[in-house]
Amino acid sequence: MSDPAFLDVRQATKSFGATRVLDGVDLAVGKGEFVSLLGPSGCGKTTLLRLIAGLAAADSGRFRLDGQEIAALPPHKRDVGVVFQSYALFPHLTVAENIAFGLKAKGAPAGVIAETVKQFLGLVHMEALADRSVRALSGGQQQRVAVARALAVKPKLLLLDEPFSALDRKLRETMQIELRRLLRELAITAIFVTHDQDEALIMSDRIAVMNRGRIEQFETPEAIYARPATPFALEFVGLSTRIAGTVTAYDEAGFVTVDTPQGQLVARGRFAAGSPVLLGIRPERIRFGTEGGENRIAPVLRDIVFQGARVQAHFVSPDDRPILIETSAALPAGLAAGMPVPISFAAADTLAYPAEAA
Amino acid sequence: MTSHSGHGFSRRDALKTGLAAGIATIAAPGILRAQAPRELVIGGAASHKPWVETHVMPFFEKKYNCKINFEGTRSLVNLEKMQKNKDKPYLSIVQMDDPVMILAVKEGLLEPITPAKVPNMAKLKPGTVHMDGMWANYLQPWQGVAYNTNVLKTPPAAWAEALDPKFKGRIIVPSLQNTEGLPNLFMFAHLATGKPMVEAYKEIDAAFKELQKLKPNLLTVYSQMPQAFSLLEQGEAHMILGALSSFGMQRRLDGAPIGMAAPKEGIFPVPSGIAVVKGGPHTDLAFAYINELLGSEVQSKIAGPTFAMPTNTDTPVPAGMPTDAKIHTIDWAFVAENRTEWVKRWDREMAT
Amino acid sequence: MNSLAGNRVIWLAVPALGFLAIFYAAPLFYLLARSFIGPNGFSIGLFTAFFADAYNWRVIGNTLRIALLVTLVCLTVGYPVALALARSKGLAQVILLTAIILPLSVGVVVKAFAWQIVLRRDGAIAKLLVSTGIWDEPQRLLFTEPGLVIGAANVFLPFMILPIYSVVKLIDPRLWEAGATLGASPLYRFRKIILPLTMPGLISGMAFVFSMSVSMFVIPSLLMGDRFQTLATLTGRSFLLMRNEALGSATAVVLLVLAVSIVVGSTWLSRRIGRSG
Repeated sequence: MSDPAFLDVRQATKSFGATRVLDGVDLAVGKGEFVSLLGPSGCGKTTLLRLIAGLAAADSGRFRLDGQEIAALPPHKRDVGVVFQSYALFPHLTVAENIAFGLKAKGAPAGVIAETVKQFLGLVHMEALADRSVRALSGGQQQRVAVARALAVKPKLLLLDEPFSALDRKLRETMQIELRRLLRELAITAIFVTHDQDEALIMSDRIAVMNRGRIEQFETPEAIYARPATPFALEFVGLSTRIAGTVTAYDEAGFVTVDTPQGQLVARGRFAAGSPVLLGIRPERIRFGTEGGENRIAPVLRDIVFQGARVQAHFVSPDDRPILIETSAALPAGLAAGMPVPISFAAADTLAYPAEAA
Repeated sequence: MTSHSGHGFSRRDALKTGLAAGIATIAAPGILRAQAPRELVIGGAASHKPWVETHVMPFFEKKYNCKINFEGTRSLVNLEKMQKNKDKPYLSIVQMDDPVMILAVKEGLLEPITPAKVPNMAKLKPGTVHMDGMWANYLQPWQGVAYNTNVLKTPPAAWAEALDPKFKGRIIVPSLQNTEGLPNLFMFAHLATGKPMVEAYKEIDAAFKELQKLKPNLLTVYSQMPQAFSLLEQGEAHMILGALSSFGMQRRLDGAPIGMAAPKEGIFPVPSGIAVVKGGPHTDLAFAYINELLGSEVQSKIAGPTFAMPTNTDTPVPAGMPTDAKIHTIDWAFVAENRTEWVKRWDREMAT
Repeated sequence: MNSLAGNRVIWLAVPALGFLAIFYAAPLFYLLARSFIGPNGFSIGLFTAFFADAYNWRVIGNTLRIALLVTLVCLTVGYPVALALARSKGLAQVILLTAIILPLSVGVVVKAFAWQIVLRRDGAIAKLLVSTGIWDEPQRLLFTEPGLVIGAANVFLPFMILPIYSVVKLIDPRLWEAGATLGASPLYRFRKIILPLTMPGLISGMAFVFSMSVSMFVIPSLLMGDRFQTLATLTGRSFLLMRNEALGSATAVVLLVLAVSIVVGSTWLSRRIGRSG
């Protein structure tokens, strides 16, 4: 990650008709970095990908790759590889021919082509199926061919558009790790589009959380999880319990005291007294009993969901909002639905956001 | 083949004809008094139906107290109807093209007409009664030269004008596979040899050689007549050699810029023959019908609408028809014998 | 169970097969048989006589040359249209499709007459060529081979466009983009992705147009006239005007054999090219 702006996108803007899909997006990706664009469908992440690849033209904005302006270049001159969501394998060609396509198009010598194809068939474990028609492959195999095909031309940048969305969960998890390892080995700079937060958290060096055509937060997975910059990032990345309230006091250390239907709670944040706020707590930061931190409440238990390694306990607050606890520890004895149960969490883990107009 | 000159007609002739028709009605023959209306079935061309129904049927049915059933189809179909029902014919009369008449005669399907049974035969122009009375021509639509009146201010005076280089790609002729294609062959034999038509028409070799001279001027050789006329009307073609008067005059009447010329080398009557079916029902009525069709009263009614020349010498030639043109009658027996060979040669020698 | 259901379904084809047997196979068999019967039973005399005549070779040449040219023109004009049609959306596609399909409801005779007006010396094409300076003065197009090819190609164009369109429509547009991101130029992408994938539509379009133009009868007789004979016009005339059924059967059989062998042969050939390319 020597060059902090190997790919440098500035103020990328794109509208389809009256709809602004990208609204002045900045994105700088370092060489060798694996960045995810995470967001719900319609947030503009695929559009941003297509602008970078040259498959669509931006209304405005600068695009630099490896020090070169690429905005005016047609897609086949950008050295940007794409793995499509549908894989877009050439159905009339075999596995090996698909992988060789880009090399042949660029006029590589036959010997180089044969060697490269062999190498990438090996990297994606597809040697045995080299002469198979791609129509006869399973979803996972097609995905590997698509990755090998895109990498065989050694692009400066690899873009992946939800490449795992068509795979079942188990295969998806295997493929995620496999792809991550492969890209690391080859030191490929990659941008990965997904709406699956787990996928983004597992694979990325950094995640750009996108919402409504903007990047709301662009940090490491750990930072985004621990300190979501916006209520959207909080909600979209990981589970959260949210409690609405009004600020009654604040201090210089960056903490506010908030009046909520649960009683007074202390949270991180700087707000003037009287501001309506939304408090967010990660479920795994909440403890049974009163030892979890300064904020102590006793909502009514509604349900307990056993998830193997973890257990979720669902509560309901007096103003009928859900409160979630996630724990891997043993549950206290004698819990029953309908009874109030004391729980607690630290002020440092309680994040205050400006309340959206409700 | 025979040729002769047509006669001029005057208004006075027309009056005479009308008078004669009136007298004929008063002196109507005995068959008038027959009691139940009898049905006379006539096989003819579909295109004849309108004038038969308007001008002939009401008049004849009333005069002879009978019903006429006119089956309009093609000449060859009429021939087949006669062949199939030879033992018990239901057709009494056929109105067919002359070439098909020859076939019918060869198969013995026709009953000759005689002046005794058909008095109006005596009034016919020469060359209109064929094969010793096997059939007669009641009308003569004719083939001459059609021209675009916007392009040619005066009618072409000769067929030979079509060879003028100024008409490059502007002349249309009918295909030899069409019956109306034959006159050009004979006309070019005449143009090549300079002999009178009656001798010239057998010189087919000379005709084909002469036709070669026409090739640069040909726009096309048509097999669909309406197409040829639409090209002429649009001015893409300037002349059609061997154009049918019935078609050309009708277009002119409809306002198309088309004229029909009867050039000095002559014109060709198109055979519209009528004959009695041998052994057919109501022979007396059949002869009466033919007599009427050959008569001046009926002919003066139908010659105009069909743009044809009457064959009855008492009948006036309708306005716009040539009155003094040389008229050449085609030797259909000679045609029947050689046509296949000619078409073959035509294909090869007239091809683009 | 399955095979039983399958067998039952086969019966659905019976009315169509019966129709074809009665109205297509039987007359065709009669035609074939008729051309092999001489005065003394079985004979190939009709064919030896037919092929011994140099004129008939010229007719065969006319037939094939025109059919090939018409197919070529339809291909050149129709292929881009099919691509555009498949990629167009909404109203534009509806308009394009209508423009392509609607002319099928206009009879061939009407179209031929319309072309006669367009191809005239004072028609639209001649005016265009003169005004653009390609021609010094109006020349004759009507009743020339180029005129015939233009007219026939117009009539048969939908039969080239529609099969190609139906294939292009099925091609994932991402394939084109995928080719681009692999560094392939638009021309290379066209040659290596679009062309091979549209080959089945191309083949059926060419087979349609070729077999229709090799056997067209009305169009050449109206746009070319009697001076230009093809196997089809020769056959038509033999049956309709000359009442020479024997010759008509012979020319029809030659036409049938030519058309079938060229369509089958070109299909086989283009499949091979498609596979190796």
